[in-house]
Amino acid sequence: MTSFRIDGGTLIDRSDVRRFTFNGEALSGFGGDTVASSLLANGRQLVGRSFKYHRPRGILTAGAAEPNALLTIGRDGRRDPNTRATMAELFDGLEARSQNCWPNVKFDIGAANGLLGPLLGAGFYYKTFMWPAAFWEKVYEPLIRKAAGLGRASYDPDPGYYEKCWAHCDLLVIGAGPAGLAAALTAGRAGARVIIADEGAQSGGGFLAEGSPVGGKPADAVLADIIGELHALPNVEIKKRTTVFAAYDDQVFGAVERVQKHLPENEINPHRAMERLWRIVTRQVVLATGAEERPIVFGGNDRPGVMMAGAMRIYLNAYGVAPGKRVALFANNSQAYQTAMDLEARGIEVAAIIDPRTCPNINYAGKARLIAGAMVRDTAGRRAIKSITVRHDDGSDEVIAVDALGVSGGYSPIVHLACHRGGKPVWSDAHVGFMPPENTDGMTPCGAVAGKAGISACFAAGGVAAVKALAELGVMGEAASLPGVEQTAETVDHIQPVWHVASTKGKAFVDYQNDVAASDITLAMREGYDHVELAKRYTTNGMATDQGKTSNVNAIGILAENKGVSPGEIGTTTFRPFYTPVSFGALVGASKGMDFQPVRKSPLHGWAERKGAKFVETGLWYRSSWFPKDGETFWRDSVDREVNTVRTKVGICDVSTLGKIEIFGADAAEFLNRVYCNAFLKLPVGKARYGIMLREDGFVYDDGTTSCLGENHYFMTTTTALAAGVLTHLEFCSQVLWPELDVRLASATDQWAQMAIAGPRSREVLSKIIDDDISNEAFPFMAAREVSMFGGRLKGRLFRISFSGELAYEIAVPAGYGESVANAVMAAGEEFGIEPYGTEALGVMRIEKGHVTHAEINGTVTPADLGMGKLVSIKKDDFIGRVMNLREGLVDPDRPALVGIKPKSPSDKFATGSHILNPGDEVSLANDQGYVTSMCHSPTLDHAIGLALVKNGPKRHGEEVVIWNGLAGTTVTGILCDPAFVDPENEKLHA
Amino acid sequence: MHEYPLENRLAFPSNDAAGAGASINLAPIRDGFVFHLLGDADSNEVDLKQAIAKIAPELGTDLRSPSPNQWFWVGGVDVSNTRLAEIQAALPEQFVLADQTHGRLRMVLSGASSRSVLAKGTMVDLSPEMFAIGQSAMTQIGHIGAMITRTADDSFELIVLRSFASTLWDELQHMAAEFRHP
Repeated sequence: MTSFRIDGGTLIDRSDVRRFTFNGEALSGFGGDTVASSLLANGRQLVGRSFKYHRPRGILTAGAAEPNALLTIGRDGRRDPNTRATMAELFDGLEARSQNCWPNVKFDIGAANGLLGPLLGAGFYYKTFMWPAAFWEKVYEPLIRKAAGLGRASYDPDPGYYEKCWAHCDLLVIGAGPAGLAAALTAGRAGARVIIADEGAQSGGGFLAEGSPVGGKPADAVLADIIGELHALPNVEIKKRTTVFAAYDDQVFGAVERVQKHLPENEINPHRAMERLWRIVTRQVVLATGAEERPIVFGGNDRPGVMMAGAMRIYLNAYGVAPGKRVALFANNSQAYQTAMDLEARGIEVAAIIDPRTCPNINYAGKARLIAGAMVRDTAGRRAIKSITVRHDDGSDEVIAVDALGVSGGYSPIVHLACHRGGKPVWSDAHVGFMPPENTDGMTPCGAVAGKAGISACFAAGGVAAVKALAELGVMGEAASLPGVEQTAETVDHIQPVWHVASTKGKAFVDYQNDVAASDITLAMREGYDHVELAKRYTTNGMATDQGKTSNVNAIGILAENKGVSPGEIGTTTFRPFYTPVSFGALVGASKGMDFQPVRKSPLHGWAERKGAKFVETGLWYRSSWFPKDGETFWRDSVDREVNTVRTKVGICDVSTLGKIEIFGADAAEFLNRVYCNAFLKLPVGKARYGIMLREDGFVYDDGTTSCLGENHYFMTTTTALAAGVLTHLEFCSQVLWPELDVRLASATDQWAQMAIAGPRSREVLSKIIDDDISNEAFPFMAAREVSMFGGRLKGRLFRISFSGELAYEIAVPAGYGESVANAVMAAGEEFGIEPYGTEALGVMRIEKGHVTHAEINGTVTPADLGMGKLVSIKKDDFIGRVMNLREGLVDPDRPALVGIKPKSPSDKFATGSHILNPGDEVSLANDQGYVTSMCHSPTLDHAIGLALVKNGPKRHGEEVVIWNGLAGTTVTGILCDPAFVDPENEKLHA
Repeated sequence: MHEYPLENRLAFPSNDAAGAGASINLAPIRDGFVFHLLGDADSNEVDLKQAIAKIAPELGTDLRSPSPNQWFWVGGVDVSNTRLAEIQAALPEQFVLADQTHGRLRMVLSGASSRSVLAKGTMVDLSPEMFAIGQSAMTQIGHIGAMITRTADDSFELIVLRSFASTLWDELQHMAAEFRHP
């Protein structure tokens, strides 16, 4: 421990020594320390290098706004770059490293950039990398990207668990300083459900830095009483380490809680989240976010050892850390004098207080020399401050030796959350800052964010704000009271705006994180980028992780000063979430890896798994794709075998994922007649019908079969992909278009395990488990009805429909019985050589049969394009898509229409997506005749086959064409043909 | 054909995964029924309760409403096909019934931490003062649609589509893990 650690420190526990490393060097601190406080306590003022010029940088603040002290903390998957040392809690074993420096933070080669400073001003990239143009992508951009950025993200997976949560309350209090605590206490006592959230490890805000007694008691004791009462209230929830980062519509607030980020590896509970992202839904909000102390822009204001005056006070009183041994203060307001008093009370020499005001009205009675009407124009020191140069009001300069400089340029209310919903902050000359917008939609700002200063004033304001918020909720409340702080400095402050010291010498930084100097702002103005939004983007002021918390108002002030207007006329840039950086881990939550999205499993998933199925993701579903057997090393080995089995014997395929909708009601038939383009009004009970739904614009939306199971009961199947969409569409039709129709719709997709039994032996297999007569006569093609199974032990629904083109049935049974029935089918079919087949084989067989899927129903086709124009009813008065389907362009005979395609030479192959050209035409899309929508190898025909949409295709069967694969740059001679490659006469279907 | 064994398999993983922690417990409801009742535009819950109480008093009148004029009628008794057909036939014309016993599965999350677990998935305010015993809400738990019904002080029934059941089960296990391993 060094002499920088002094007595006191309300937040640290000196019995809890914590060891850590900084750039590999072993150091120690105490429990309650932040990394920043422990580094300062160890005499480490230099902690990093700046973004562009690699200038030495130290610790500027003691909180969330820190622009300089960004460290990489942790290692491997737990490595967090750009961590604010001021927010990171010290734990035993912590590893911290400086960023943006090589070989080390003390001797950084990149500092040579500083020599190029005059060349690297605002707009440098835009002006410099103009030519040659070809260099941009291959040379300039890669180089710039390599040079840019601060910390490096880890490539290792983060072993931590992250999650998202919802919380609800009547009143959300944001900030647990004096104002927030008073608001929570007031509302909590009134019985409201309160959540009070604060980003700090400890609640208290201004209490934590208060060196003076409060109402005769030490500030920390008063704070403990308040926290104790809040903890005792069951309706109050205190969220520590929780940053409210966004205000969304409808009173929803985003917050991130650092649940275990502050713990050493051996104390992390792997079952708990590292961070938790909260969505907090509230009815009223008290905004008690405080105010950010502003730097002043002067030469060398970035040198390590230059620190905000308020931060000095926090390190002193809360952490027992002296910022230096001989300190100066440069402030345009009176609150900084409290820092001087606290420093002196701890025996630290305050060499001077430099105050630009000529007659500061203060109650300071300390020992420090007060230099009124003066400014700091420069600092000196290689890696840390050694002296300051003061410009007196008579124009003379004086060099004062110091090892720390506290700066205070006034306070900027932290208005971000009040502005996320579009509100613009309002400039106040009295407060020399932007105040929260007046109409804050259920949000009551109070305390420092509303311009108050001092613990007693803020506490009182918090109570009043809570009473107001409670009144909006219809609850009576009484503002919590607190005896005042013993005032030793003035209470009414007169701040003199100082944005930039005109006589400055050397680089004077506005934005520390982006190395934006005052000269960059004025350069942007000279070059026409004088609007605040343009100046931000031209100079990068206010960008990156700190989003200009310490720089924006100064930049606005400089713009205003140079334009001769008020900062209010310049205005602010737009406030958007996030207030402070939120890790991707928290945003992603648990949705990563295999938990990225829910897995939807068919009732036959386990059965297929046991049969060795390879699965394919189809939306959220996992569908069995093929079932490899021993010796099959390539997927097509399995698929070809499965197809051959179905074509010659019998196979079973899980089709449970198809959408299924029960349709009830006296008007169900009329309803179906309107949603399908073909006729459904007279579908008899016990029959299924293929149907095509059109969109209002006349194009095909979806297809499927609908069966009439009873007088007012229908059962619709949809494609897997559009199951939810079709139900939504039907609900819209029922509820909005035709509410007069008596129709009830129920999703039944999950109720039924459905399997296709296809192949010439399928009837023989099913006859062994189905009690009813399913002969061709008793159960012909497109029959559909409930059947008895297993001697009456089970009821199922049997449909004689076929996607494969074979004699086929689909049997649906209650999902829980799916595996049993599938096993029974396999047992019954064993003597016929039954095998399971997957969606790949199904896809091959449907192409062989010329059946369409959404590869063809791609949103651009009409029924006529698919060869089903005759299905479109000309007798019906109306159906969805009727009128638009008759548009000139949709009935053009030259439209691309469905056709089969095969290679002229059976050994040739072609790819889906290939374009069709006429022989002899130049290979160009200008000569496009259509394209291949589906393609496969047909094991039945032993060559490639495909379906295509080709201009006037149905009339061109037998025509030779060129199949052009533009991606591969290849062409193959093909022949257009009937899309039904197998059983074009449909004899198998009716067998 | 009688030799084929028929088993009604649940979609949840093994029950062993449920465990029984001090503050949280997750258990499937293995038996019983879920009937989806669809009423016409003028239907109401009072009429429905009267009707089902009369038609099937042995099944109770435990209803959850997922949307206007629709209800899930749930109970812990297995209902045969024959009995189901009788109930369907006896319902007043304004209601129809679709069996969802296999399509929508029920589980119960209970214990002192049950609200904290569910808060990781649903935006519904489940605090006792806002969500009374017997109240239901159709919502999402994470990315999975589910219906939550408060069945006791710290006990919630979840109804989920069968195809999502195992994923929801696994997700709830993750959500509850910190309370099992504090």
